[in-house]
Amino acid sequence: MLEKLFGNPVIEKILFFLLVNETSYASELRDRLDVSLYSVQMALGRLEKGGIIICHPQGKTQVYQYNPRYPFLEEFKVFLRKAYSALPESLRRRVYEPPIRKRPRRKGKPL
Amino acid sequence: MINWATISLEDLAGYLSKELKKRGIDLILVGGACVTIYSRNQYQSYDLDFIVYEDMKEVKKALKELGFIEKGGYFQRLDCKWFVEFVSSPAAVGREIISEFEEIKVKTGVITMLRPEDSVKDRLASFFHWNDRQGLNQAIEICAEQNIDIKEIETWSISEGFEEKLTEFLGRLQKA
Repeated sequence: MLEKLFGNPVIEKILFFLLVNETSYASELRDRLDVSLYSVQMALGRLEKGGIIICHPQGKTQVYQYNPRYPFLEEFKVFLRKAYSALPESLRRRVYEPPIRKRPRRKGKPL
Repeated sequence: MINWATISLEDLAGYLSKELKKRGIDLILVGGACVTIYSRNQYQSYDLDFIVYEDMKEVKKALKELGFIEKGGYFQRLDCKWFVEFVSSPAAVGREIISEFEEIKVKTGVITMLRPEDSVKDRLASFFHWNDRQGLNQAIEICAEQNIDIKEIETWSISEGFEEKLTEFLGRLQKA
């Protein structure tokens, strides 16, 4: 939908994924978006260079999120939310809103 | 003649500003180097972060002519300890786009850079968003050396939604 604007379909997917899930890392994006790790890393690098996202190391993983200091963040997210709402619901649920447990679980707790 | 081994951070900023201006490129100094200058070296940055609105191809060409090599997103001369980086435009602190800058004259040229107030806001933004204590300390170091309009800092902090952390900053400032 916005790939012509961003010049890259992976960028659009990453931006939508972070919009919905707030944080992510390269291998998760590869798996969820079904694109190559190389494409994800290139796109993340481009977005980071542009100041749109930032990454924080968590252990050995680089976790990405929107840069809260990006001056157009508020307006950009409004724009993205509108575009995201135009996606078919089935696609949103399958790719961007998977039913993955995100709430904490005590270590060692039986299922 | 530039002595690359001993040139100071601010003289390099002045030199690059002058040389790139000759080629029609205006540089704006932001980030840690502004803190170094305003805090009178209380904090030492090792890189020069510039914002440029012109085409980066022209910037790269100019830096190459001046002997700088691009490596991993930075530019450096092998005989000079400082790094040069170009950060994403626009010049902004939080949601506030910056359009007024300070000009300081050094022996190698004129540096266009963040105003001291914007440099404080820039450091406070790191403290506000990432709880970066180094940023908080640097903001205080600038205030200790410059005549900062604290009212402006207060108004900006509240508009950014960080009243609580502003209180912590003001408390630290009083004790400094």
